[in-house]
Amino acid sequence: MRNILLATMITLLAAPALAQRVNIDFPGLAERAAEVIDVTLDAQMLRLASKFLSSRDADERAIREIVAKLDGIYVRTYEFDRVGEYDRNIVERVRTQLGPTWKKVVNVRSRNRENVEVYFDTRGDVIAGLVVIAAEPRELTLVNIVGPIDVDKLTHLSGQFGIPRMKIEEKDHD
Amino acid sequence: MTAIVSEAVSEPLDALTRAKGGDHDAFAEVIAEHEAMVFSVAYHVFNDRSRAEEIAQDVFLQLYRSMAGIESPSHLVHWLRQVTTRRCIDQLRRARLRPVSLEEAAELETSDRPLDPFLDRKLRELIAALPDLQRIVVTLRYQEDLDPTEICRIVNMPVNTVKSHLHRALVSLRKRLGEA
Amino acid sequence: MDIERELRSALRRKSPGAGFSNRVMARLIVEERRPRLSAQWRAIAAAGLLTVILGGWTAHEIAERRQGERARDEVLLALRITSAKLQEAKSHVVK
Repeated sequence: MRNILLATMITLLAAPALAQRVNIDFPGLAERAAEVIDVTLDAQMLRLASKFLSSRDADERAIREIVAKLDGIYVRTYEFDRVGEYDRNIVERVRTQLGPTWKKVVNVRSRNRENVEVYFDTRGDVIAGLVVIAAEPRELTLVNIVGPIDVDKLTHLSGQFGIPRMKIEEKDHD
Repeated sequence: MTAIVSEAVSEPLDALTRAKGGDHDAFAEVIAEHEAMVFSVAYHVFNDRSRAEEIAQDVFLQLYRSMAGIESPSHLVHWLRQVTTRRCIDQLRRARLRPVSLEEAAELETSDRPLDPFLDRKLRELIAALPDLQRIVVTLRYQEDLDPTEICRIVNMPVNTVKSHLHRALVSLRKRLGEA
Repeated sequence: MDIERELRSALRRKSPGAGFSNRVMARLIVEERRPRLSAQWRAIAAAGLLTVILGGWTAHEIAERRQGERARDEVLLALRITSAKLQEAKSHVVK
């Protein structure tokens, strides 16, 4: 029994080390885009950034706690001049990297507006990663957050800093 | 009455500690100690000496900016391996480069004589032809003598994925050596 | 044939060649916009370690501060973008 408990603890503690970084870099996108936002923050940069988040500001204090446990934050946003300038198959190429531990928690479909998918990488009781795919006719945003995400803290942060309060349910809407 | 006075003898600070304090000469010592490791990882991934030197220089410049976060000599080694590998992966993804053929790569000095120089060359050709991630995993395994658990932390992949890449690479290399 | 032994031989570490550390230091000095330190300045820099201990600023700390502030701004930007997309998704969810 003790061995089982020990093994479970080790698995939970080791979960962050198994966090998967998803490839969100695809050749040709940046070159065709009119505007690109590229944020790449590995664990080291996040630790450095944490030192400069204000401890006097409640939002930044909360963000510092969330960021302290992460292994990386990666964001790519591409804006295009015209509809159809990026390959929509890129969305599928992101999805195919998500193995069985990834669960889709939000799925929004709209013919003329934005399709948004949100995935959590679930390892036992730990959420070890987040992927957001937001595809509009002239804009594509890919987000990968790597590392143990405290959903309670993220939910609590919601409502401040413009982050919505989230209830994690799977919903499909056209 | 005799007073026994103990005097603390300060040990000279090691190069890492001095480099963290801003000592340029000490940082140059740190470079000298680890340059072969960093350069070789990049060289074995790209088979291109000038690209490997460029990556190695960038890694050490990044190290200089990150020195405050280096906690120990072993942490430094892990950091260098990880940053070098990830820079190689980033460049491979961005440019989808194939490694330069051995005919184009200049001969490099090594401290040891190879066991079989012809087999060495053949193997390096075959390694250069491996898919990117297999080549990276093989380099970390056999250049740095790392086990899959250590490799998975550097490349940020599940350990089974690393083992799978390693297994496929060895099967492929054995098969092609047998055909050669 | 012991392929693992052969792989270790083929993949043994290689030197980048003479002068590598000098080339890195040269780039470092150019990027830091710092003049090459003479022996006299090296001595002064060593003494500057005391300034660090006493709470003063060195060029290294200033550079780190700039980098840290940039990283902080990027964290805030990344979370702003992420939150905007989550908000977009939330706006479609019917409770």
